[in-house]
Amino acid sequence: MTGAGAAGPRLLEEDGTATGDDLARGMARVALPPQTSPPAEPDASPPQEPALLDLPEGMEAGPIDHGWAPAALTPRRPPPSPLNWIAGGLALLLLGWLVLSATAFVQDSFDRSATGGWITVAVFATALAAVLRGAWLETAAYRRLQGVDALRAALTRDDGPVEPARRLALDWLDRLPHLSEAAAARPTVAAAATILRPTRGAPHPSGGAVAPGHPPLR
Amino acid sequence: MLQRLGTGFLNAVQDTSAWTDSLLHETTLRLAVTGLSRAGKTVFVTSLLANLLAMGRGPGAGLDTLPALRVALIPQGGAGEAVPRLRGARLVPPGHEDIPTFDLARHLAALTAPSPSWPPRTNDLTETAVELTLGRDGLLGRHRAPRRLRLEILDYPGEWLLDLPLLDQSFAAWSRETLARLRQGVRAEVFVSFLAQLPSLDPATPDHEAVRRLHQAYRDGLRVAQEEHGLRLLQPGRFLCPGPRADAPFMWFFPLEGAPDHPRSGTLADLLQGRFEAYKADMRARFFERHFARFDRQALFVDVLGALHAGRESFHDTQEALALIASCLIYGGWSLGRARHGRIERVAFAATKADHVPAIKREALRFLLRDLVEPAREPVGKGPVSFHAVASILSTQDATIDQNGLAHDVVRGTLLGSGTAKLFDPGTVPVACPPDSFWGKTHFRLPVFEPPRGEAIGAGGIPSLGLDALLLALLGDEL
Repeated sequence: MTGAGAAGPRLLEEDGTATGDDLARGMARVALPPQTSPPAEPDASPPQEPALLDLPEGMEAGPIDHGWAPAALTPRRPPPSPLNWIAGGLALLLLGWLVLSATAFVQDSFDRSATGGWITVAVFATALAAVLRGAWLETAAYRRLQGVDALRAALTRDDGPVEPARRLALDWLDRLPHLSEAAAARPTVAAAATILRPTRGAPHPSGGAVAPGHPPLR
Repeated sequence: MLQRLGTGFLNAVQDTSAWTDSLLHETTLRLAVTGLSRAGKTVFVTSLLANLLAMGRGPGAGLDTLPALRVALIPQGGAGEAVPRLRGARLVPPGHEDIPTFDLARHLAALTAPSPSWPPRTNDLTETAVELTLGRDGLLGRHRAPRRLRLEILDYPGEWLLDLPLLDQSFAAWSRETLARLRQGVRAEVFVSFLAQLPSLDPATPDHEAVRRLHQAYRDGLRVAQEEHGLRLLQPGRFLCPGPRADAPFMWFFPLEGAPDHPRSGTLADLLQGRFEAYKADMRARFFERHFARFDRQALFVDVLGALHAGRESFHDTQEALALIASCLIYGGWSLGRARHGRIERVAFAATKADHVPAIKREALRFLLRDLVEPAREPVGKGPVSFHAVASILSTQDATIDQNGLAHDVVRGTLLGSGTAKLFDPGTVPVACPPDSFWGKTHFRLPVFEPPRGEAIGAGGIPSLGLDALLLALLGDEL
């Protein structure tokens, strides 16, 4: 490049094409602007040479530390979508129709005779209890499956957080009272310090060591 | 017998189940990380993997390392703070048993050591794959099995990319073009010894010792041109970075003066042409057709700033090299050169080392890249093309100094090795390829700053600049 004076043109400060403070901090939170025409051509000032400069007095001279601590992606349920509203409305219509029809039917039975009315109530109540019990059992089984899936996901990573994995593992063991191995494994899991099971004599990948008496989760 | 039948049946059932599962729930994208040597491909792959793995650590444990990607992953209709659909990210076996796996742990260890250093330059092919587990949108989608996006990435020495144009060239044509180039500019000084020895060869009877000597002289010239003058259009690429079979005889050739298109058997031209063709066949079989023709997405990294500061010849050399490479890649079509069957759907050009430029000048760097690769854009078809200014690992911070009473934007970094904090002023960054009046005789070598320090770097991701926007441009449609 040509030799030139130190004070060069400041073309980009005026046209505002820089992506802003986020880029300056190294946190490109915005996408680059659309591919538009390039900014205006430089003026006739001589180009400015690159230079490596000493720090001026008063400027911090320590190593670069961006204070890198990205925010955690906290789980949060998204708001209901239009499909949720439609499905909810249809379910309410169906349920309402069933309840109102059943009520009218029971009322008709009572109008005919009190005995018939009570028999109808008993039949409907028994059927409803059976349906509710079945739904309850199905929901509980689904939740147990979700727990096992979450545990599997938590144990996938050797460097993942230990506490959630421990809690999930203990919950799972508690659901297996008929297995003696589950009861035996419980204290081991409760005392685990890491997720990783190190091979014999191998160091822990985090650089630390697994403390004696604190076995891994798996 | 029954046991064998049983095992065979079980294996068949298992294979069918895995195949069906893959068909229903898995998408594979092959990302070509391309670029000339020292453009920052290995650093990019390291940062990409570290940040994706940190982001996909699982429910409640993921980190917001790639903000633009996080926004794209929020379920449709979700609020800004809603959790992304990314449920997990993990490294998976890349699939080729005979290719070394990209050593992420080693590169991260180098970056996070008490005295951090940059990952060493790539000397051979390495491969890696990361699998992203993505939840599905919608009422029904939330109750279906999650989708898996498998991203396969190949890292390789950038020098090899320049062998791509060789595939469709004859030895005679290559010799003519190369010798013409060697007699111009700084190359004429660098290759003075090789050019002086060339006429001493007997064209009728090949002297194997002399051939090896000339080959070595040519190779030495390539190395000097690369390391001391920042030139990039240096062929064949494996003369600079040999990889496996470095001592195979087919490597011992060089451009020959007056090489005929159809040489007589037993002559020097015949010997060199045979080796040239064997070299091409080896590169085609081992690298280009096996790996390069199967990519869906391409990131092309260019050290624009390094080329700009290395002077006019280096800058134009980089431009020519990029045009030559791009002329061999047909995007959105059905070929790579001739008999290939790749289809590159999206291309992102990236000017690397953007952290060596203060924020105010980064847009200029991006426009300069765009202008630099303009000749290379011609073959780009209908697929989306984007341009980025990227620092895969952010090693500087912006600073403002007072210069003659005016505020002046620079970057601050710590020099690798000495540990001294310095300011770097990149000078003028033109928004388009500069005119001849821009260039002088002095060249400037970019300072090498040490990687950033911090306890969270590594498993907690790596600070980067523009990496998320680049990934969004490349992968956004599949997220």
